[in-house]
Amino acid sequence: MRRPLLAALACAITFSALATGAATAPAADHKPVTITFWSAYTTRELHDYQLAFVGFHKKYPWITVKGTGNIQDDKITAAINGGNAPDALLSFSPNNTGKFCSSGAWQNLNDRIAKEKFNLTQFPKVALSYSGYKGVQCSLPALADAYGIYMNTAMLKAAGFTSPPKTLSELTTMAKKLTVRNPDGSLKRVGLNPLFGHYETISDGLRQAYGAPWFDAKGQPVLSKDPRWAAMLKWQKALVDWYGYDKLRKFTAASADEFGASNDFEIGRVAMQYDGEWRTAFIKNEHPELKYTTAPFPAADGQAAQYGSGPIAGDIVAIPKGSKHPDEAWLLIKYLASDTDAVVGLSNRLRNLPTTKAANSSPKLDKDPNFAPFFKIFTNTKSEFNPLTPIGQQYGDTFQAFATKWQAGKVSDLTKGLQGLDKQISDELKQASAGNAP
Amino acid sequence: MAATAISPAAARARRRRRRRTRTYGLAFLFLSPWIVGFLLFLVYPMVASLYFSFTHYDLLNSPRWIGLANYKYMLENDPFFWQAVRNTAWMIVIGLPLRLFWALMTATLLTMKVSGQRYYRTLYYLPTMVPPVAAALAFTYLLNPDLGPVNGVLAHLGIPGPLWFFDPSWSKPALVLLSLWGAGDAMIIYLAGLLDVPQTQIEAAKIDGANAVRRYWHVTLPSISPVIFFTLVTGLIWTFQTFTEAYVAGNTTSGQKDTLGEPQGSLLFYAIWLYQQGFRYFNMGYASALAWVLFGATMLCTLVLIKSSERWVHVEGNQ
Repeated sequence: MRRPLLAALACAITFSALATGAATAPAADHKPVTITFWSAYTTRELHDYQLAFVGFHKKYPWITVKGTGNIQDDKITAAINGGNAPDALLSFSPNNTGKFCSSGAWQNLNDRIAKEKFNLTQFPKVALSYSGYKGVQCSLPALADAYGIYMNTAMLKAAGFTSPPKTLSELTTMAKKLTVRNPDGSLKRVGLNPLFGHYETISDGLRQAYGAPWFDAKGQPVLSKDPRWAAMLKWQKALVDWYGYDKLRKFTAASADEFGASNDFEIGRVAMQYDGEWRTAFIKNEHPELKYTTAPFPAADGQAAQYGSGPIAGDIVAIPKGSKHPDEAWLLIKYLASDTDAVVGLSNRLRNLPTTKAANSSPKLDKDPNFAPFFKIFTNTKSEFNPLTPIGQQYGDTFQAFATKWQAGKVSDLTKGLQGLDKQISDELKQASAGNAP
Repeated sequence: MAATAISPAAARARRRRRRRTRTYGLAFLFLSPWIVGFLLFLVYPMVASLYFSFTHYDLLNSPRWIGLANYKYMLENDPFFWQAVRNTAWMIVIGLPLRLFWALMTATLLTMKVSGQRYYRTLYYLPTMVPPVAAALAFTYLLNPDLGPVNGVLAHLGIPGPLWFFDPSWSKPALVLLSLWGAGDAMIIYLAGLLDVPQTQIEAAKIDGANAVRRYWHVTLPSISPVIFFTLVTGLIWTFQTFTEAYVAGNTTSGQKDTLGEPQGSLLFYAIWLYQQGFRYFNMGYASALAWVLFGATMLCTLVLIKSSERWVHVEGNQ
């Protein structure tokens, strides 16, 4: 009698252990637990983001999330090294994903994903490109940014334009016609400010317009080898020169803070502006009277296939090494990245793009005709995030430093300059891999 | 029993030893907080960073030994390093002497017997109390080419104002203006030195027929040369580490975070490049190598100054 009883007991224990392990491994006894979550959000956005924790707590009542904002990657790194890492985190800088994934500083989620059959295809391909590195999925995309062009419809109408530019030639014509000069020749209103380094106008938007690649298949930079880079820089410089570099610089010097209520586009100092989808929320809050429209950034002439795409960036959520409640943290990041209502709520409040296909088609998503084009840009198969490399964003900075000299007319030989740039980025890559086994 | 007997002399020596040990022990006990702090927060980080400078260390993976590769890369393949060196050298060669000269002249004026002198002293010293970030922000506004009052005044006078922090030729001079405005720290030291110049010597020179300029050159300056030496050395070390004002001004005017010394790298100072490498690119091994080169350069320049001081610093009792 005793043996069957023991066997039954053992079976029961094993079954219950397996069952709890598979379904609700974390805090199977549902003891109340508080987990920590760090993000780079601040002020209003931090508050809006953390409202998602209310829904999470409703779903998992035994888990309370304590959020902290204004934490950038350097602080996260220091905390991981110092053994004070939070349970979960959100980063604004997917450029560093390669480092965090390959070093194990962010936990590899592959086992959890496989065990729970978590569907990664619910995210667009581009979002997966910056949340994992070389087969290691160490973070999940949670909201994204896409870039396009904003146009002041009243100004466009007055100048006789009724549709957005689709090529850079059209954009040039519009930018020139929409520009207004003061009697002394200084700039009163600018059609489109093409200065690299101003607001969001960095190389990425133009690179996308040309479809110019950063690296070849071997991971070596091709800025001097691919003619599209030179063409892109020449187009930008020609427009800068048309305004006059010094005049444009002076005009830009008077620009207010990008994220303030006096942003150039919002107050009509510029007729068109390259910007991210979040600007729609700023305009709604600060200048609801502004009549404007949005569209993908035009493609370069001869690169029509690029039209509709744009550069993509995004937030990623991860579990760092040293997380004291990794199972609960997994529930949280999974919720923030894939719970349709949570993602829709975050998108509606922050006006960032929802990262799952289900959230994209949710009826609860706020309808806004000016926001809609960014969904299309986000899901366009040619939209890209900059390639992840062992040097993070250093190659982008290196290019930007070159581009600001170029636009000022300090580069006399562009071919030579781009060759030097290739060498420099190549050297940076070499330096980062120094000491590695061949 | 006889074998364990201790002679009185040996007993005295032992007592002395014990007393000495107790005294040293007590001294060591009182010193221990400093010693622990010194070892933990200075010696250990310095040794660690020296080791890291010979490694590739990204703060996340274990350091990887690469010998002198970081130093070689710095000298042969990193154009930003040389740009940062040039910008820092400019500040040392032009900015620092200007700042010290300005502080000395201000202090000299403040020694004159005019009414309300104490208010002037307070007024000139006050900018030193302003946090560097706030000061830099204020100057980016004051020197804004389009909206700033400085260019506004210049325009009224019919002079076209420069682009200041938006122009690579004017960004460093703008930074020097900011440093002149905040030169109160050096000014107050000079003032103390000037007030300490023996009046008897000045009067003697006057009797000998020396005019004001000669008295200043031959009596006042030699008398305060130790003070000048002190401000020169501390100013040199400070200038080698130029960071906050340039970083804030560069990022504010470009509207971007973590730029490489905008405009066009003209505000990329050595400490900024070191910071970017360490905390933006997580290239801590290379940042450590940069830090050690900075330490070496600072040390070398300081030693040269100390050596040269034998020729021009007049200490009482010496030539």
